Amino acid sequence: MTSPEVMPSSPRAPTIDGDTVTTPSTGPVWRPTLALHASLLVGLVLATVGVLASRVDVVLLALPFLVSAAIALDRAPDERAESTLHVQVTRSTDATSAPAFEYRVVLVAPAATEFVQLRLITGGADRWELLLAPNAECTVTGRVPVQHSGRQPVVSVAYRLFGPDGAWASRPVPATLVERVVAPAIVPLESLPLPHRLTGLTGTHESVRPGDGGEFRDVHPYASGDRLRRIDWKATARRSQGLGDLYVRRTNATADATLLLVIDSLDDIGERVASWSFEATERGVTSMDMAREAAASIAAAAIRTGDRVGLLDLAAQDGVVAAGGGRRHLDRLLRRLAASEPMGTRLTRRRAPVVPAGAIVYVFTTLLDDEAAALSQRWRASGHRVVVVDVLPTPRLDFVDRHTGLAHRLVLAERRQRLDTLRANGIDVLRWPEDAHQPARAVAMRALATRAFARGGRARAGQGG
Amino acid sequence: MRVWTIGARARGRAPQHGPWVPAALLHVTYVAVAAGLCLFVFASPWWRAIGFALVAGSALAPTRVPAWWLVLALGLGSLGRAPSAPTFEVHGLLAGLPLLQVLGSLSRQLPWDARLQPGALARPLRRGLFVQLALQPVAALVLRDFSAAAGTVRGAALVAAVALGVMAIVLAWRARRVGAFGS
Repeated sequence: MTSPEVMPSSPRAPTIDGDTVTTPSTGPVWRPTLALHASLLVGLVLATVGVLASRVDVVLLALPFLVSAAIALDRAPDERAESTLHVQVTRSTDATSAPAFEYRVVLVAPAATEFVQLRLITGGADRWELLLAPNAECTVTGRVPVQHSGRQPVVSVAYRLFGPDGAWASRPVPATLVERVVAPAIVPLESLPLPHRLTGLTGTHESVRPGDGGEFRDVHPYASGDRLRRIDWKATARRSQGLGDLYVRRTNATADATLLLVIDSLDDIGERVASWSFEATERGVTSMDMAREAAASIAAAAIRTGDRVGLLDLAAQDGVVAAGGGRRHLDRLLRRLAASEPMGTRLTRRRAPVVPAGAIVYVFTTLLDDEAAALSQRWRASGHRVVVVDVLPTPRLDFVDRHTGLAHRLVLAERRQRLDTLRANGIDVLRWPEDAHQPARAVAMRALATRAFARGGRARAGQGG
Repeated sequence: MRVWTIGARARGRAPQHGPWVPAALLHVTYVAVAAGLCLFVFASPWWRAIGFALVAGSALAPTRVPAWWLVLALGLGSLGRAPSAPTFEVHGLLAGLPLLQVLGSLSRQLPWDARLQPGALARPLRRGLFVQLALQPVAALVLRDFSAAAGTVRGAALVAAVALGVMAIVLAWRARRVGAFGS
């Protein structure tokens, strides 16, 4: 038999019908394998040597090989027979276990097929090599747990067919990869830090600007433009010096906040430090997982309170979603967040991306390089409130050698320096814990929101509205 | 869209495809059959050492040391035994060598951690059994008539050579017709 070949990704376009991906029917290209050639060669050599040496027993040993070769040659597979592969991926309906995808692979092989070599790669990491008997069709089912948010491979299927005694083999049929995009989890957050300047004429946040909708502000002499129904007759009776003096009750105006979520999608850093310098199959929780989850949670909380949220993906070419509000906008943001992927290369930019006036900027970054920190400082210098959300997972140092450990300590020292610089420049830094069951996220958010009041953030609010 | 829990590290469930045995069993069977035949065929310690080296090579690096090298060595090794004696060893080799060839071909394709559906072996084994059922009685008759005790048959070598030539021509013609030698 010939040696196993690397199975490339499928260049063909499979048809997608709901949850099922079907590769086009193909007539496999059959080739004789080394097994056939070996049978012929061994049979002929033994027979020749047996005749030359006048040894009947050696000639007899050649017979099964020659018969096997004759059968294989007689039963050469038909080139016109076709094989079809169906891959169905559905979401697991088992509510008691962890979220997962269930897949079902059905291979319809031609009649001449004696066995099928199936190569499955599930979850992009686990490789399964199977040798199956194609009775009418080969069916393989399985379950792949959802370990990350975003785009992820569920199952990749490549196969190869074998004829009688493995004497014939089809060319490897290229792998069919089925991917799914998993939306990040949304953690309920009750309070969010507000920007220094609230914008808009309506909203759920109370500004210090006089207007409609908010709580009582003061009693003020009537001025042109004040509504008549706002006249406070009791206060007027108490305070007026002349007949023309009128006093109105003023309230604070309400306003909404604008948030800009900035995702630093250059790299996807796993919690296993050993996986930082090479492609590893098991990386644990990654920085992109945490960034997606944090951004989705903040976006959902902000839009629930009527604020406007925009999105900027630092490394993606088309990574801007303009600020907006409402349920449909939240869906748009979640889809964009789920589709965000590590890009590997930075965009070259001449100036910092534009931030809407008065917006608060949330930067989701690992701070392992300078760009996100530099942009944060620039936005802070231009008057925006900036919150850097640290999404570097807690490192696991298993299987780390001495040199990698030293490099890791150096990288973390640089990162600490960046964090200190950010804090010194008045930028809030929030650590986003990776444990889903920890209430620390909401607590940290509430602390940040409270700190804004303590700094007099509310006193400044509304000045630009 | 699906909500998931970050930090889930559960491993995927293994694929379900009916009954299976580990492919390592196939490799172990191959090694056992090959080692047994080496002990069976080679009398000299040196030849046994070469045989075991071929067994180890074809088991550990099947793409570099194909199983048919060992099959050929075992077949030619039988030249060292008593000529054309109707012994149990000949029948054992007659059954063992084709089995070794099939096991070697399969183990060449499958890594040790692969999974094997027993049904996949049914057709090759059934075919091998039928061939053996036909060949073993023929071998017994031929060995009885051509054994040294029965004396030699005049012209038998010539007839055998002609039959072998015809068979080779027919096989080559058929192989060429179905493209076994490539286009």
